[in-house]
This record gives sequence, structure tokens and C-alpha cells, in this order.
Amino acid sequence: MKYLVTECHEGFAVLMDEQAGFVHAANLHYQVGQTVTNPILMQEAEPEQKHITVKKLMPFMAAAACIAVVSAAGFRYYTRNVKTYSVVLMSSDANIKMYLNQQGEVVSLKSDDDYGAALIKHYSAKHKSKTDVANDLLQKQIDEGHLTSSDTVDIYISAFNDAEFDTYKTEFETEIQQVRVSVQEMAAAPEPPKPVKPDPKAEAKKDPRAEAKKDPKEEPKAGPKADLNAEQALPDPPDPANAQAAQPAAPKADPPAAVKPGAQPKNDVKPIGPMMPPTPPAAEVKPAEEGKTPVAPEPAAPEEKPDPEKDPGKKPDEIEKPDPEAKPDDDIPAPDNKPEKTETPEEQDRGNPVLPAPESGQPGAEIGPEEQEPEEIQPLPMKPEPASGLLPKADPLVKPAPLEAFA
Amino acid sequence: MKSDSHQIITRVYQAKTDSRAADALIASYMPFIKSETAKFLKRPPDPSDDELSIAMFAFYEAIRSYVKSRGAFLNYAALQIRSRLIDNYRREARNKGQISLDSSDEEQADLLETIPDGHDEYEAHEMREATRQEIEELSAQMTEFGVSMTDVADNSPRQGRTVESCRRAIAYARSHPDLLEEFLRTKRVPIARLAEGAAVDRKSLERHRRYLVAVLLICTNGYEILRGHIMQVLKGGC
Repeated sequence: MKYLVTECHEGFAVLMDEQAGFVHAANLHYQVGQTVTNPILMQEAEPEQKHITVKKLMPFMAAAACIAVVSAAGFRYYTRNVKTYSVVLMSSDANIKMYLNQQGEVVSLKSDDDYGAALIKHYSAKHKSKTDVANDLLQKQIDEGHLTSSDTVDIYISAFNDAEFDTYKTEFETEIQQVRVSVQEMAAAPEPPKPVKPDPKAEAKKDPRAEAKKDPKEEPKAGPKADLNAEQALPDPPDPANAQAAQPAAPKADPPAAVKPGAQPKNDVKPIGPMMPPTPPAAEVKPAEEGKTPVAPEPAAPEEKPDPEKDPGKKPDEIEKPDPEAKPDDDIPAPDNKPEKTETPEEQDRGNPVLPAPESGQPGAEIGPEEQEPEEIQPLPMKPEPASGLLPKADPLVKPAPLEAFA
Repeated sequence: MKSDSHQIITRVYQAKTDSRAADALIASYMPFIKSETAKFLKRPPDPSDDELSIAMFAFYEAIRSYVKSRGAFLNYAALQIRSRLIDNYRREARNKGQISLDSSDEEQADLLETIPDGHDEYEAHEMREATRQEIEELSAQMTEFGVSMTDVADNSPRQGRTVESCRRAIAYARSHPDLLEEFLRTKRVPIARLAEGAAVDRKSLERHRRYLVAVLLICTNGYEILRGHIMQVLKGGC
């Protein structure tokens, strides 16, 4: 590369290379304007390295040492004088807790009750001996008449170790002369009464439902009626667990027709055809035939259900359970559970009018009294349903099951 | 003794940035430089010896690179001079097998005289004189901008990325004569416009402002020889 000498000095020259770079070089008798090759160029000065010497570090080391010493001294002071090592509870009319440091001096006082708080309110116990503080506070109570010299003050100590406990115990027993003291460990101290929160479980135990559930033998046939009464008394929905526990007992005691609206059919009862309306009781149909205004059947049939307890000779299973051997395809109708009355197929047709299907999803879609008016009953030329023989015939005490129960 | 060492350190630190002070310091310590050269050559140096020039240059390098933590300046300078002379000796030793044109053969005739000379000495002298005039003119114009050749040499970019940034800025300035006119009129480098137009970092240009002054001046009219010398750069963009 060619260099053009642009400036000459005593000890160096400034050259310009062909890349338009200006460099320092040794002035080997150059003249300005001369073109030279292979000059002795100045070496790039190395950047000054910052040597970290001990001398430079000394101030920082000294500062760090000072901080360490101050920190250690502060920590030692804190642990010996400020940090709580043991607690002494002085229990008399006032429960006063003394928090002691490692040297046995009182760091702070605390009281949970009003009288104790009033006692220590204007009393400075900081860095006083525990026995002095105890004597002062006891003297105050004696002066105020809350204590006499014959009284016994319980002192509970929570010490760091057993030796410290023994020391404190000895000190308290020897240095407190005004009253008698009984020194014990803090673990023996009675806990202050805490406000009792109302326990929902305890209330639930008082619940009659829970009582009925708790002792099923006393009321073995507590069925839906009992549950209904309980629900009327307690509108709150029962716990799912309680409901599950209470449900199994109910179906056994009650006839299937008395199942509450919306209740699930039992597994042991064969479902009747889905579109088959229940047979209305014959007693209700008869007035319609006579042209009288029909009396609407009471929808609250479960309340009129026969009480199994009142009629113990009649088992509900005999009433409600259809014959398990009866098949729907049988032409011969199954014998009724109640043999008081036998109906012909025509009578059965009259008794089983075709009712308009209730609107689905409406609770009021159950068979109502208006739907059972005699004018609307038009017997259709239908063959007798074989399944009708499965149903119990015209039992006025049995409430017709709603359609939703068979849906 | 202590005041003497303090005085020389002061002068050295002054000579770091001032080329005239450096020249004065070198002239003051010429006996020291000669003695160090003599130690290496084992003879008194002749003013025409390259070793003496190299020793003076090494002394200047010592001035530039000296810091107080390196100890006494003269010891440091002596070490620098010795190192430079040794480097030069090794470099010359690599070329020892080559025959110098100045060496004489058995018939006492220089080899240089035997080579047919196609070089016109007169033309070369004229060319050198013209170049010198251009450089002097450039130096004078640079002085108006407060910049010397030594400053430019100190401020010249070294890293390739910086060199490339400066080249792009110079190329942008050459392609926009109004920028050069503004530069000559205001005597200020339009750093912001150059950085924006050439899409280079503004700080890079600011750090090498004195170098840009020299090259932008060369790029203006009146410095054909210098522009021809750096034609590679100019072709590449300038």
C-alpha cells in the first residue's frame, strides 16, 4: 500500500494511505508530498488497563469491616436486650404477661383484660428486673384492694430451657413476699375463654329431621309425610347426604301411588305404560254419571294416605305392589289387591276416560278436577288395556300418580 | 530529583495532545535518544541513520502511551526505544538475502546504474512539489476548521465498521454537492444530515468529526492529487 506523507515532525510523520486513513509513522527522512511504501507505523496504544490493587480496595474493605462490626454489635445487642426469650404470665385479678430478654429483664408488658391493661398503662417496665416488676404490679393491686397478702398468685413461666425455668421459679418464690405465689410452667396455664361460635352441625343435630334420621328405630315407618312435615317446618333444603339417607326409608313405607309429585319411581314397581293415565277412583266418577257437579279430588292426596301405623293390619305392600308375575300381554286382568269391587271392561272404560295429555313440564298439568268432568268423558270403543289389570282398582285412598312420575 | 520527574511527566502529558510540545520534548531529549540508539548500535548514531529516526519515533510512541503507573518515563522510553530498534533489526534481517540496488559489484558499479531507468526524476519532483502544495493548502484550510493533520491521524477510524460508516457518509456528501457547499460555507460538518442520509449512527460520525473534515475537504474542488490518491475510497462510494 502506498502512503502519502502529509505532515512531518521531529520524531514522526503523518501519512495518508489509499483508504483515506491517516496514520502516524516513523519519519525516515520523509518530505511532505512524498509517496512511501512499507513505512514503520505506530503501534496502536493498548487501552489502559484498570488494575485493581489492594491499595484501591482498602477503603472499601475498611467500610465493609466497619459495617460488619456494627452489624455484629447490633445483632448481639438485639439478641441480648430486645429479643424475647421467655414469657411470664402473672395471673391474679389481672392477667399480665411479661416478655423477658436473655438477661431476664422485662422487654414489654401485655395484658388481655381491662384491669391488667389499666395496671400497666402508665407503668414503664423496660429493662427492669422481672421480680421488681412483679412486686410493683402486685403492690399496685394490693393498694387498690384487689389482692391481699393471703391470696395466691399463679405465675406461669415459659422459659427457654429447664434450668432457666428453675432459676426463674426460685427467684419468684424468694423475692415476692407480698403474696403467696404458685409458679408453674406456661403449659399449665388456663387458656382464656374464647367466644363460642354457633356450630351449624350442632344446630343440625337439633333438627327434627336429623333426630329422625339419627334414631330410625323409634320411627321406623317415617315416610314422606314425616319428611314433608319436616320440610314444612324447615324450608331450607336438606343436605344431599341427609336426603339420600332419608330417601331409602320412605318408599318402603308408602304405597307407590302416594309418591310425591316429581319423585322417582321405585325400582321394584313395574312402570305402567307411559301414556296410560291412572284410573280415577270410582267414587269420584259416579257423581258425574248422576249429573251432579263433580267434586274435585284433593290434590294433596299424600296427606290422606292411609297411615300404616293406624292400620297396621294392612300392609302397604299389599296395596300398592302389583303382581310381579302378571304380564302385560295377559288377556286376563290381574286380580285386584282389593277384592271389594269387580268391574267389567265397560266400567273400566268409563272409569278410565281418555284425558287430554297434560302439557309437559307444567306442574299443574297433572290430572285436575276440571279434566275429570263427566261431560267430557266420552268412552271410546277401545279394547280393554291389559295393562290396566296391573293397577290397583279405584282405591279412593290412593292418589293417582302424576304422569311426570312415569315419564 | 522529584521535581525533575514531576516536570517531565507534566511535559509528557502535555505532549500527548500537542504535537508541537511533542516535538519540543523530543528535541530536548535528543541526547537521551542518541545514547539509547548508540547502546543498540554500539556506535554513535549518524543523523542519517534510520535507527536514529526509529528511536525518535519510539520516543514519541512512549510519550503517547505513557501513564504514571508505568514508572519513570525515561526508563519506559528507553525500553520502548530498545524494543523498536530490535523490531527493526529483525525486519531488516528478514530481507537480508535480498540484494540492495545500492550495493556495488566487483567492478565498483552500482546495480541501480545498470537498470534502465524509465522513471522521469524531473516529473517525479514536479509531482511531489504539486502534492506538497496541495497538502499545504489542505492543511491551511483544515486550520480554518481548527483541525491539524496530527488530529486527523489521531481521529482516524480504525475499526472496519466505523470506517464503513464514514465512507458511506462521505459518499452521501459527494452525491449531494449542496451538503459540501454548506460544509464549506458554515465550516461545520452537517453530521445530522449525513447520518440521516447515509443511514449511519450519528455518534459514530461525531466521534470522527475531524477525520470527516479532512476527507470532505479533499472531496471538494482543488485537491485532484489527493483525491487521486484515495481514489479507491472515492470509487467505492466517495
